[in-house]
Amino acid sequence: MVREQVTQMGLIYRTAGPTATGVATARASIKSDFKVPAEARELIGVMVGIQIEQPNEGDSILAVWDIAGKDYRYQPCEGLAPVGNGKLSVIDEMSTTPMEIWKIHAPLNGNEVLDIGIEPLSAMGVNGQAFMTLIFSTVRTGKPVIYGKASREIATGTAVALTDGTDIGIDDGSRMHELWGVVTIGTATVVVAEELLAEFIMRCTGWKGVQEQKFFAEPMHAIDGTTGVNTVQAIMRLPFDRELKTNAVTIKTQAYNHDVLSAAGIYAHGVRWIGAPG
Amino acid sequence: MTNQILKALESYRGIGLFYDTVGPAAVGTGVARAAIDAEYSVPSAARELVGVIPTIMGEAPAPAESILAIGDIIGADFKGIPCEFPFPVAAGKLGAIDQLETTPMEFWPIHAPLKGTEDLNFGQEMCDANAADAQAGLTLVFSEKPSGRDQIFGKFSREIAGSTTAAYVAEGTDIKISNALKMYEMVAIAVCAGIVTADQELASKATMKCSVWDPIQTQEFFLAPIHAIEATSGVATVKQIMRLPLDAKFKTLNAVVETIIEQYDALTVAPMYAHGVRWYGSK
Repeated sequence: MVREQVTQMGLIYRTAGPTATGVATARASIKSDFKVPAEARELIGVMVGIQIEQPNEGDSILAVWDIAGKDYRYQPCEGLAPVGNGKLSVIDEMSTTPMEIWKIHAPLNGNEVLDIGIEPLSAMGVNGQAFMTLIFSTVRTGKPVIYGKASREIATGTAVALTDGTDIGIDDGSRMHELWGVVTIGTATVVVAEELLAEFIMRCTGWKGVQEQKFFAEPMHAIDGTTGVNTVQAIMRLPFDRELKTNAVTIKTQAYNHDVLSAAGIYAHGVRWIGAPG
Repeated sequence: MTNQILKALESYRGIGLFYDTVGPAAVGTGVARAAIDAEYSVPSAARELVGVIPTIMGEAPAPAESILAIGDIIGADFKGIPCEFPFPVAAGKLGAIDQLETTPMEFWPIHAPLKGTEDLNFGQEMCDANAADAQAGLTLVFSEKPSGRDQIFGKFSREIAGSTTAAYVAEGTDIKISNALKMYEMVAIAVCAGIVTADQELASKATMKCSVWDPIQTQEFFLAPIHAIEATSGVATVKQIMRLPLDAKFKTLNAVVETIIEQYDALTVAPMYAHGVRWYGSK
């Protein structure tokens, strides 16, 4: 699932966490003083996992990871943590979406200190536990650094509706690289036979060429009708090459909930781009 | 699984990919073709339909209902006809836990050239009747520049009724192809729509034969492992899909692909099967 064609260099794998992230929505450090291996010259990318510790029924997490710290010169660097799926009461099922690789290609010096963080977008009844595998190389690939930024929570209602989300501002971009959208229903119950089909819309007048993008998320996951307890989650990541008219642009986000639900969904959008540090 | 879509689309960087959606539309409960959008106007900037990412789900399905559906794109202006692709196999409700699930969405490349002025008709055809509405939609992947890749056409057999007995062999509908040059891939799907008792499973094999494939004329493959068995209540759905590349050339422009399914297990309800071929051709 996470095998990549990056084997022609000395790869180094290191981990941060697992770390309890608390129950609130504030950013928590998975590790605030992560020391880059002495031999590392580039952060190729990361794989992030998150789970809920002994969740309540219907708990789920939608979280954004980041890499910060004064030594890390390539901020903003954000992506989506897997959607941690809570307990289904009948079968006590817990699951997370698979860990995915997020390429970054940030040049680094050995022994730099990084701060790796996670920010749950909805409060939980119990702790989340987050962890990250970092993939370094001993040589520089020469590939451009990929920056990332996520919108924060869009709480939608329970009706079929189009909801405006938070704008995403890029300060110093030159070219877009990727779009993503994610939805979950967290800390809430959904009744029998409900489903979720989510559509994501992103618009930017600063994109050259087509300025509106629309895509569906991967279909909803689970419905538990016997108790009316459930989580629903969906995600989509898409490559997106597009030059920017200006270095600073604003991306408008909307989510369309196509179904009536007994609990509101939580949506987030994200963009990844090529540009300059800062 | 989104990583697989991401990876599949990575190689198209640099041609101005952009995305739009069609639907979701309620497609009814019958097996007749239903339009998801009969009057879709292609975005003016589009010069190629790079491919589609289909999604489908049942609306408040009855226990153990499943969907096996074939999508298509038609329209007088569309140069990519025939263009059929399967929707994800949507597995219905499990009685004990009322779980609804679909197989993950996949990317189906098409590479159909466009002028940006076309009107298209997107449709789907369920292979078995459903008690409740299905809702179908597509994410469309366009590009502002041609990819330079050969166009891929597609055609699927419709339902092959399976059996409740073991060691069952059935011939499916032949798939007739015109203007074929080279195969791109084969697809086979199996799904049980109905109540399966505890600990039942489905192992099946697809065979596809074509006398004008060069050099090998017969292909055999097993389908991906069975999906779900729910033993507590004895209610389950079972679904399988397999998608394999095949580079066989065609000796003649017109071809008939024969489809055969072999089912190894006895089941309390008969599964249904479909086969598909996708190929490079000429208009």
